[in-house]
Amino acid sequence: MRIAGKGLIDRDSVLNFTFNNKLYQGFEGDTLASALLANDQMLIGRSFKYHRPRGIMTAGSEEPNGLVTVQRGRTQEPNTRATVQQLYEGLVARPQNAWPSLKYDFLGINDLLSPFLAAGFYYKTFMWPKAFWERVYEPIIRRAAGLGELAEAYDHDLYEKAFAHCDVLVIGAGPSGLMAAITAARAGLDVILADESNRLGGRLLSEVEEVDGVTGRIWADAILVELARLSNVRIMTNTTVTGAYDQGTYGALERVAHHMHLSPEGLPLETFWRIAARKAVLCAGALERQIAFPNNDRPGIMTASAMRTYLNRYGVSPGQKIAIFGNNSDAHRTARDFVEAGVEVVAMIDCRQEVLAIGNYTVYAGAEVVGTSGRLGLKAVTIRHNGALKTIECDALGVSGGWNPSVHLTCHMNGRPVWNKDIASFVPQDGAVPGLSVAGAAAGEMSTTGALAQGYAMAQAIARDLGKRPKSFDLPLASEGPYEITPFWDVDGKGRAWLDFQNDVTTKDIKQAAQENFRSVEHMKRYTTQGMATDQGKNSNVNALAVLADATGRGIPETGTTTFRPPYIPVAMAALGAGGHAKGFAPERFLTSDAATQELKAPMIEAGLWYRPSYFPQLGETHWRQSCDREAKMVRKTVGICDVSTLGKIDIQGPDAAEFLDFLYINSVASLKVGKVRYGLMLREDGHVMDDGTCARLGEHYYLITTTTAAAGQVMRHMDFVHQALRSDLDVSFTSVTEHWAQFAVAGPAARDLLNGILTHTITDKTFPFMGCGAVQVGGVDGRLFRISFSGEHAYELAVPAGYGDSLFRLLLDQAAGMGGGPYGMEALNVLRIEKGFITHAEIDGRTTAFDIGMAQMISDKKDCIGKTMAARPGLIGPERDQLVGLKPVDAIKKIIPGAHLFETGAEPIRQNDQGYVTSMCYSPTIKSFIAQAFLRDGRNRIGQTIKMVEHLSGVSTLCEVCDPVFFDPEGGRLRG
Amino acid sequence: MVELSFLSATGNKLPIKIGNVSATEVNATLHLVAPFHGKSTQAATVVKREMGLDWPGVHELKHRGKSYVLWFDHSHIAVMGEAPLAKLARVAAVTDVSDGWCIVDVYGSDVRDVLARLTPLDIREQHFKAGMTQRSMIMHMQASISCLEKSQFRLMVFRSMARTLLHDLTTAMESVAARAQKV
Repeated sequence: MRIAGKGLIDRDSVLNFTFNNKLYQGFEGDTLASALLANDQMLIGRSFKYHRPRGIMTAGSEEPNGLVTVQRGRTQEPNTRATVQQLYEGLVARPQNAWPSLKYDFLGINDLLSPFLAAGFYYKTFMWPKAFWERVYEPIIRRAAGLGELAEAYDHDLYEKAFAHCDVLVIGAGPSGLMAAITAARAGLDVILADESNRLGGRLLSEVEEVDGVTGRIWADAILVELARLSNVRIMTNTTVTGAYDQGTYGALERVAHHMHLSPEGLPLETFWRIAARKAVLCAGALERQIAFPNNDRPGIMTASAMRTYLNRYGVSPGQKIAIFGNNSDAHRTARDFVEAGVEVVAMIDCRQEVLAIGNYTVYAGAEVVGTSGRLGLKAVTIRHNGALKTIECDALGVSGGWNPSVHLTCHMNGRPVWNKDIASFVPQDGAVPGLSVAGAAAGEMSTTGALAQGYAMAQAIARDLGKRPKSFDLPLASEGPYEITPFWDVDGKGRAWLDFQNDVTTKDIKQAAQENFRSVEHMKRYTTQGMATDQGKNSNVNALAVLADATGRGIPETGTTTFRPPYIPVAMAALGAGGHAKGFAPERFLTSDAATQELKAPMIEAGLWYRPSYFPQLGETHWRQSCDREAKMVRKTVGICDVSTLGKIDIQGPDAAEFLDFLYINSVASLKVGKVRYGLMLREDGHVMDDGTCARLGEHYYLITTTTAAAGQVMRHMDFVHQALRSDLDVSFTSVTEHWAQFAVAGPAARDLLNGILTHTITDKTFPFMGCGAVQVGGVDGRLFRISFSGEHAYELAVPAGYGDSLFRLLLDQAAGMGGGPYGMEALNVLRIEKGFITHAEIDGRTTAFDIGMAQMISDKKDCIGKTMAARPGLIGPERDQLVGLKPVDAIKKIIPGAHLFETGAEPIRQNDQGYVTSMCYSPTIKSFIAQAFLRDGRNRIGQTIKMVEHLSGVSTLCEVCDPVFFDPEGGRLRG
Repeated sequence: MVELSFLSATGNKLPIKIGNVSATEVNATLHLVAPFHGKSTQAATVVKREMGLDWPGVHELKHRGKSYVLWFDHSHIAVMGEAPLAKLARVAAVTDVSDGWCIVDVYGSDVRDVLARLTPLDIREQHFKAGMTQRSMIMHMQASISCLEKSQFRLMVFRSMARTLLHDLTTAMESVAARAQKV
């Protein structure tokens, strides 16, 4: 119910929302949780395993019970914590894990079966009969498992990633965080202040206490006004720092549009920030823990501090009769605040013997809660006091088992927290994360005065550390608030006492784990699933290990904690991978001929990141093979045009360029004459082939080499390595010009005629002989012409600056069309090169040597080169190697399949009899047969033999004739013109 | 006589303006220059004498009118606009890459917020000032990023990735513009 005069909500701004198909009203400033509590909706959801009725337990991101599914247009977001979901007009939420309804949940039957469903039951139960696993158990478990449901539709929400940098990252904007931020800001440091709430102030918004003579909220607002005015401060609300990583990098999730019904176009739902901070101060506060007592999970039972938050921040009382159960002085603040707000406080049950009330309420000292009642909401608690049981009617119970400092981030780089017996909690270890200091409750300092002082001191130290001379100023006065606690973890009594509310783990489960010798806290966690739910044990870890410590006869420090790992709160995969879907997955590289190619409706294939045309379909062609055959024949008969710009092009200049290239290539480059091109092969250090390409000598000290498309980056990197690490003495410089030149193959008997139709100066066999190169002009644009051929035809590659690529491609197509030619794509290019026995990376796949591909004789014995020595190793040469050969099916219509393996004709096709494998295959319209390239054991000595190809996946078996890899024009008469 | 027409890297898809950030394409000659061994001083002298600009140190960009010199990598500087190429070529490897890069200027008061969504660089004003240039990533693309003025940056990626640059840039610009409308 709402409490008049309390809270920071805007009562003039009414918001309508729906929960469980019922309309409610709340106010601007509410969370979904506070609005539901204000409407006396205590039952929010069902627990995961036993489907127990559950209500709101906390007021923060640690909430284990209040998980709902929020519907937003076509999408829905399951497992939204009602405690962090800001209310907005039109919000639609529904409960989850309940069927057919929240009140009457069929799987509530699990609760009745709980004696059979204790920790580890599935490890034991589903072992037999073995055949039942796949057919019975697994389907049932899969149906019951999972929490919440996705929309199973395309996610239209936008997520983004972003980067931020600062001198100091202040994590949390409670008293210590605000103090740290303002101190660092006043010292002139660049500050980011991040807080997971939409309103900054932390516990100051939830407590009734004064800072600097005014209420905490007013003090916080004043600090924020000052921070907001400073240009060196960035305030990030709704932002949870989720992880601490190397080099002062922090992950942070900003909820950008979760509080909006309709958001502006382009606004992301969430932004995942990578924040690089020179220093950071963790001011994340502390989380109040529960006490495990029988049936402590009923709706209406929450932490005592959450009750204060709902009262003081949201003006809501979770009940009309409030009881509080605690083991520390802080719990009494709840009793005091509710009494002062006019709400009936029926009991303050304190397990400590010596207790002083701080208000007008009844205290049961030395008492404990031993039971509760109320199926869908709390109706009464039973307490044991002075040896007698007493039942007290109440509809809300606030519980405080003490505070756990939020040490999580300090443990993200494998640091372990240390036990502080004064506050019966773990506190961060100094220096656990380099550059990260901790202040306030997160460091175990529970008084506001102490928190302010620590925030100030940490920021001052950081400022000095970063070379500033911070001025000192007086700390605001605040409450000393002595925090007195007597450790108290669980109550003995009849009935189950919950520790992990989300995964339904009880004290009995922990004790059973210990009994079954899962004594390590890590083993206990995995056996019971305690701490493995979306709250990651924030509400249960310390209590659970205290119970384990007790069950195993050890102390809490010796028992230790489980490992805290990022992220601190659940983070959507979409946020972590933001920007990486659809077009953001990888860059797309487009040729300058792309527009013209698309106009011709060529299907594109992705090669590396490049989009290249597969083939150019013509009217009446219904199958790619028809187009491919036509294009291959066209090149052999007239002329074809193909964009080959994707090949790597590297410009090499310098007095030592020739010596450098000689060191890279296996063959000689120094002997190459200006105006000539040579085919070359590069090896890796280990003697295997890295790449092949051409090397053109454009000037005395000026070369241009080409690489394959796939290895362009690798070759450039290799050259950088060789120059910087091995031959820095050589005066040579190289630059990638792949992108500068648009380059087109003009191939076929009519190639020269075509070119002479567009070049400013006519070329002849004399001016451009085979493997010649030089400058040309086309349409007034300076270009380069190379007489090289990857098709086996009389062919050229014409290059112009890429800005003219589109225009030149269209021009070449026009010219070709008039000669009976046209464009050809990757499929035809592949056919032409296989017919000629030319290799690609299908053959030089990183495992083959120059010997294997029949190019060992190219390794010059007059010079050294990278990989030369290693290529001569025993085992890399000789008849035991698989060598490049050609294959033709004995029966021309039989298929050869790339990737298939080769066997002797009479041998069983098993691994032990493997004789090699097929690398490339095509149907050759020229040879009128399928032809292939393959690596065959001692292949060059087996030409003419018959070998059996077996493709095990499809079961195809084909007898093949072993051939020379050059099927077409072996003398090379056509390419020489 | 045939004619070839020039098409810019973005295919004339710019300029655009989203929110208060604008993007325009820059078409300029661009050459990479790497002095030969022992020729750095001569190369710097040519640049100083002919262009009136000091040789750029690491992460430095200098300009006069529409001529720019900027650090590009461990061995190269880039020269943009009018430049004494022939004189430089006597003492340095000079490579024309004018058509190899997609060059886009982005500017406007929120430009740094846009860049914060594209590059991991520290783009705070005091850390990435006018006259600075850096090599880093724009999303998945390797890039050259230079600060020309407080609220104006020059982005360069490979020409073939121009469409991806426009996609990534507009997505970030839309996000920043939408934040300004957020209530």
